[in-house]
Amino acid sequence: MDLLATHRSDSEGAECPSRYQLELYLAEELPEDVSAKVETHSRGCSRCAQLLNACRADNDAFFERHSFESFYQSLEQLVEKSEALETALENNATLPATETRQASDASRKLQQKDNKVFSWMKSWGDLLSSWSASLRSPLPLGAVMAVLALLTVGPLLLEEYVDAPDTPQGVRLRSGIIAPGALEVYLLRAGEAGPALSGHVFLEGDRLQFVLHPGSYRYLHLVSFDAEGRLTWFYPQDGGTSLALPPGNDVFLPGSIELDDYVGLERIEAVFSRKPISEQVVRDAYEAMKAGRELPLPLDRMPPVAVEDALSRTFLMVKE
Amino acid sequence: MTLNRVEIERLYKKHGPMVHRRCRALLGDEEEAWDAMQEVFMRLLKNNAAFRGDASPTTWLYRVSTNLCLNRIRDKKTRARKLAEPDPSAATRPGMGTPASFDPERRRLVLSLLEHVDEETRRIVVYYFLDEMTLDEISELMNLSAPTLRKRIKHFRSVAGRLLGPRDSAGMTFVSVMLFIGFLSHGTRWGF
Repeated sequence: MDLLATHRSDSEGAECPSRYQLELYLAEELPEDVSAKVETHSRGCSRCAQLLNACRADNDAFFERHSFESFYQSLEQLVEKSEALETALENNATLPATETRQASDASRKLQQKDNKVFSWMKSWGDLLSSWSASLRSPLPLGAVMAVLALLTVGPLLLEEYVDAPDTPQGVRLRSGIIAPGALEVYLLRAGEAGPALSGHVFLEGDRLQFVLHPGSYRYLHLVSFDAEGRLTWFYPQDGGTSLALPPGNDVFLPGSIELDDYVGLERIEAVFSRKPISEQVVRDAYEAMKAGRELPLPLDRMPPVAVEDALSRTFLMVKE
Repeated sequence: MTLNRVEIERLYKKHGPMVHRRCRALLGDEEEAWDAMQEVFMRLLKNNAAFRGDASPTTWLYRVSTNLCLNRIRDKKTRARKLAEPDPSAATRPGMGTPASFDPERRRLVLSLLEHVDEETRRIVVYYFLDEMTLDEISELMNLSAPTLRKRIKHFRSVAGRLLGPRDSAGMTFVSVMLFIGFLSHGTRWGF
């Protein structure tokens, strides 16, 4: 089957006009002599005659389905959104939260476990406040809090980030606190949901959901690339400038990604930043990382994409 | 908006169906085509001077629709299946699966190979293999010389051969036949 061969010619052997030329003909934008040739040709060519008739029928059906009123309303809304986006980006503001989906029970349990640490710290803080008030302590509360913070956070600052093999990929400290710029991935397979682990095997049809802990990094690009060097944008869905994240530290990205039938290594990369960055910046950084390397890319041994003033987190998948 | 409503209505009635048809042919989805069409018109509103400066409004819209749709295809997860089930009534709608749309197999094949070439070559490939434009038409649309176009098309064919060929002997035969017939079809145009 010669799918990439050109179209067939008509019975007299003259070449058929392209679709583009037929559209120009229908729009009456061809020079007179060319238009006459197209008309003559289409009378003798069943293929082109059929195509022209189909376009004319399509034109009629289009207006039955899409009135100008509905189009104009949608266009106005699109223009308003576009102008709002431009204004928000200029002001470095955060856009209204996008729709989020409810997390699975497994992800809720995981967050509850992490929140215990914060609850513990808050309890100590409350206790300290009541103690200080009841004893009318001469010590400035701030000084006491500072000492407490030093005792609690100090060791954490000295800890290295650990990607524990039995916990979701993310920046998780030994104490259980999730540091800013963390990416958690959840797997939905055969109706079951649970934390997904970096470096594990994934199958066609698996669906992934993402939970972010951006901290002060309010903007995101989430992309994937495979060992053949192909780059795909997950969020923002149409590429462009970074996705602005809503406030809060548990951000559920809307929707889920269904994995295709690609076999081999594939890596998801979350590029967090404090200011919006363009898609091209991320692409350039990706190209720089890939430069000089042979295919297939050793994704398991390559560093995260390096983007200035941004934080990159990776999640590796072995696709089978 | 930079145009008044009357002017927008005139442009919509004259060019709306063509833009929508083109977007649908490339994106393969009615809803996406509707969204893409609105974006094309939004760009028209923002670039009114460029639109009016072009020799042909259809040419400008054709070019912008193609670029926008290819960007959409590039940026969404092209290798993952859509989460929503396809609309079962889509095939019965006018224009879907009719001569006004691209041959589904050809479209599928060409779009699946696009990610392996650069953006400019993608546009050339769509115009050449899906729109079946002549090199002269593509040259005028993209302001590229015929030798450059031939070179890019040749590169695409070699990429296609490399990607489709090694899987099995049937694939090799298919690619060989495809390339041979394609070469024959365009041989006279290239002066061979």
